[in-house]
Amino acid sequence: MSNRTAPLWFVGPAVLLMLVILIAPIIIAGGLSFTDYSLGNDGARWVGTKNYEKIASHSTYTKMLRSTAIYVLTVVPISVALGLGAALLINSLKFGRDLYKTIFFLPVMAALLAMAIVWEFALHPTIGMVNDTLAAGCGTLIQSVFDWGWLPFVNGAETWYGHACANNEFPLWLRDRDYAIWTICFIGIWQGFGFNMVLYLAGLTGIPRELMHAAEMDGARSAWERFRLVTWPMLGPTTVFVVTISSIRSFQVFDTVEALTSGGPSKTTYVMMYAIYEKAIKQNLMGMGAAITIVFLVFVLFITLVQRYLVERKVHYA
Amino acid sequence: MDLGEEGVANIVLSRIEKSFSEEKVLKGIDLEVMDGEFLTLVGPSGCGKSTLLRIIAGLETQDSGSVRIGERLVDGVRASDRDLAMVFQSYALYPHLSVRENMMTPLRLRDLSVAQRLPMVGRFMPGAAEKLHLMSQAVAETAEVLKIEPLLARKPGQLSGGQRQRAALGRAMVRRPVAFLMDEPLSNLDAALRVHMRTELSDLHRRLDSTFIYVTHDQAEALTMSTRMAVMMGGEVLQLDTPSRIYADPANRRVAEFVGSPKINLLSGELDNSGRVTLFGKSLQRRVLASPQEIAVGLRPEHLTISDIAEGDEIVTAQVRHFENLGSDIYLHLSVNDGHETLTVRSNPESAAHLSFGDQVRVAQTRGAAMVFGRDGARLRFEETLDLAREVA
Repeated sequence: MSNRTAPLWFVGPAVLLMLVILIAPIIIAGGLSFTDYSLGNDGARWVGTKNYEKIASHSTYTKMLRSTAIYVLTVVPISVALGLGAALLINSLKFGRDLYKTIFFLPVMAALLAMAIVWEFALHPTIGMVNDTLAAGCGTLIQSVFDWGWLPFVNGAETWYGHACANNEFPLWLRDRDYAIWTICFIGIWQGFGFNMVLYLAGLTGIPRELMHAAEMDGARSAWERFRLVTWPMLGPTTVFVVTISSIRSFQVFDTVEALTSGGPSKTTYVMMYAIYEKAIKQNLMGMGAAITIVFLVFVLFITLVQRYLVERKVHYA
Repeated sequence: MDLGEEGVANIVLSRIEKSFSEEKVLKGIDLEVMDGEFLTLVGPSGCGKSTLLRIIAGLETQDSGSVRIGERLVDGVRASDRDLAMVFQSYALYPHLSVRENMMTPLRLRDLSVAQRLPMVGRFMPGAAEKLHLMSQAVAETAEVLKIEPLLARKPGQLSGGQRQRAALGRAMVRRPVAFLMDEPLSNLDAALRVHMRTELSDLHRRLDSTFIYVTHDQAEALTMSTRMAVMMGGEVLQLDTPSRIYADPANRRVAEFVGSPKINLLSGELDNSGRVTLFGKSLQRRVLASPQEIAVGLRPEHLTISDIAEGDEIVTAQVRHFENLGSDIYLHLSVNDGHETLTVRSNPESAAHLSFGDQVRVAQTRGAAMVFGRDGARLRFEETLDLAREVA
């Protein structure tokens, strides 16, 4: 073995594995996306960019992109903000930190599919505790607070809660096309923000105490000023990581949709992962499934590239 | 806030106590820092000096006692309202801001209103432009004093240790505080730069004519820079005086041991009924007024000499164990009484040249230099010095 071939032997296994289990499948998927291949068929017809044209034009796929966009753009900012807020609050505690950490982290650890079933019961239109609770609140102090009638220029009877109470009509959380995607978003946030909180807590421990003291000596009197001057900039790398991870996880949402709505009603919760599953596996339209997968890949790649840019350019100061 | 201009900004600490959980780290500290002086709090790590500094700064709250800055009692006044500036060991520069922005920060936070500090639109608020102009002028002036103008646009990550040190000083200086608090600011620098910065800090102190309170564990820094130094150990101030007096006239054994490098020689001796001090079987001429006890006689390395010929002042014969060559001086480490006691003697290179390992040498002491410490570590005075003290008083 000469000195020249030695390096090839060292990197060979890793490169081979990467080719076989990562690169090759992507190339094959890319190739399949230009065909109408179905599992079991001997051959496939080359259809050119027809699959992609469908994604761009067909209303089913427009809805898919729309619901995915709604999900990602709702869940990412809210779960990141809640994660940061919870981390800051927990970090300021003297006692009971571990208790709160555990409570907020529980949904992350729980199997999402099992939790989805629990939510299905809780959100059941007639026997679910969510609607039961809302109905029980009608006509009590709860209604007078949450119909916002006490705010100036707000008529309590015309608000959402006032209206629902008056007609005794509470939403079908998972069956109503106005509510379903938001309910899925809510469960996504509930499930995900604990993870962000833990990442932020780790980030907070990395902020030197002396920097906080320097800010105090420099005249940063309010917590908000210290947050802006020290905490937020120092959490920059954490934030980039948290946003990236949350975005990718949000693009991947599948369990809750499969368990609760199956993409419905009227495809309002037809997110990308579910579409891939439905097209490629359930309907055996491999070509179409592959095309959606490639679009999915492009989105994730884009997020990753943005992250790389931010990490290298903006948030690492050393 | 404008105490600085009135020039009466003495910082007075009275009966400061502080405990962390069960451990008492400060045991009733009384200290007055004069306006414009360079006061060093020096002591081994864990003696409470940093805690004391942070109590003055307001970053820590004392359990009891009070802090007064000028006429103002500042207990319960938060750090940002005490008008003090602090330089931290890690420099604590904001890593995402350039040196200029770092130096601007204390000015922005103090002088600009909330509206003027708004991002983007703040600079267009009424009065903001004028203030910003004054602020950048102040930054430019400070940068000129510290010779860091070429660094203003850089981020702290692009600076060397010494440059960061200056930037941190600049941030502290720019708003002309009542006093500067420094928490081991030179510890993170390499040895050569540390020695250089000592001179610069003393120079800066002279030029700013402002109060410096400086915490260090390095007695050399304390000796070289301070107007006065407070030696702290175990949560107490053992002695507060000028560096030369602390060195020449330590109040007790722990101070004597801590100050001076190499350490003072402490040799065990006896004190008899008549006040006569016996050391290595020979008695000293001067007498001590104290009850008979075992004592320690302190002799600094420069107060001992080696001599070949028998002279009157020699105290003991010793064996050469080690040479510590500093170029200008050679410190000889000698063993006495078969190695039961060791002695360090300062010698010039010429007279130590002919010595080699294991040689027997006679050690003599400079007359009048010995200090006597009692069993409890307290300094026992000689009779003559007591008289002298009385005459001076």
